[in-house]
Amino acid sequence: MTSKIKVNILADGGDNAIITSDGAGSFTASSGLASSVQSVGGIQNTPAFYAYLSSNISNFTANQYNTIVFQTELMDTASCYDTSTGVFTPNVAGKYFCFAQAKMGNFGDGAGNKYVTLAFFWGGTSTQAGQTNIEANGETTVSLSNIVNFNGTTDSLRVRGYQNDGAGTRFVVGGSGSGTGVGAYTYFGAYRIIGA
Amino acid sequence: MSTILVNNIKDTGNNTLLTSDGSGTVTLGSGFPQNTPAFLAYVSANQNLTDSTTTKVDIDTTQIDTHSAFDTANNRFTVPSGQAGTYQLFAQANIGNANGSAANLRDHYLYIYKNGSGIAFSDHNPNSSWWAQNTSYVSLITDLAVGDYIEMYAYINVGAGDGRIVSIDSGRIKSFLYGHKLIGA
Repeated sequence: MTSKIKVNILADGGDNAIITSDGAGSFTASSGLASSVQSVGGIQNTPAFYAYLSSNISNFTANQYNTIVFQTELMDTASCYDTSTGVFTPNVAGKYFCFAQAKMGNFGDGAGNKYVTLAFFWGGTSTQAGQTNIEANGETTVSLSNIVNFNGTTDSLRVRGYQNDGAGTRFVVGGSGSGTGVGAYTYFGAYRIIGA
Repeated sequence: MSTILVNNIKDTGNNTLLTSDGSGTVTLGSGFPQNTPAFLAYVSANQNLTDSTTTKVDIDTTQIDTHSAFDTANNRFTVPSGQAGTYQLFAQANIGNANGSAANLRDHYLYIYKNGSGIAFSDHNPNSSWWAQNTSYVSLITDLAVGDYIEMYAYINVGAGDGRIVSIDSGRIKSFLYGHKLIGA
């Protein structure tokens, strides 16, 4: 038999409130419950998205950060990633696990001491960067991951690449590998962490 | 206004929804969504790979395996019954050559495989200035069905001899594969 108890405060044996109701259906979770349940947004790792660069970027401007716009989404639960700007602006406050990878290279001037850098940008500021040295005509993949706190309204994150080669073609590789290497060369993704 | 003092709330099937320790620390019942299955498995011994050949990485030791879903004999994670969903996967491998410090590491690739085919990879080609070692990473978010299996593969081109997946250096795990299910994604 199913029973019903009407109550405005659900408390533990130590009289610590777990859930309080105003009697009109508006609930307040205790901090203990909120930390477990993440009351805002529910128990979900969302918003979440994963997008990749579907076509090559050529002629990166040398010696400056260039935004990489990952044009193709494989998932985007809350439409928080903009495929036209490359910007992720989650609509739920919280901490997010963010990750990115880019395959970059250059057809350089033949001189040594070349490098490529991949960075997360928070607004107009770089928050984290990974860098790999590379010979002229070389190609390499740089990866990043971090936990980032968003306010759920205006905070946003994008990925930018940097190449110091002063001549030739600087490029970011899009699309997918061939043969046994199926999968995107260059991508960006994130999801919300529960209870962090 | 009324108050009910209780440390354990169960449904009519006697399943625990949540419990409290009496001091305000609340634990959700197992029926609530969790980021599981989750696993982290690593390479415990250096593995030499035939030069210029794509080879499965011998991930033979688990550190986390919530559902006993990682098969160390076959070096793979298999989605168990009832656990289809969206997963985040991550692979890392320290790649070098079997000759130790010789700087002859050329193009090399790290893959995440699903059901025998690559679904994500990291690609390095240093061109003419060879390296001694490099740590490659690759990750993705992807949907997995029950029975889908995940493995890590690598391709290493070295100037002479074989390639190598480096396992542990001074107690630090250098080559591993992890993953967990996302909730609600």
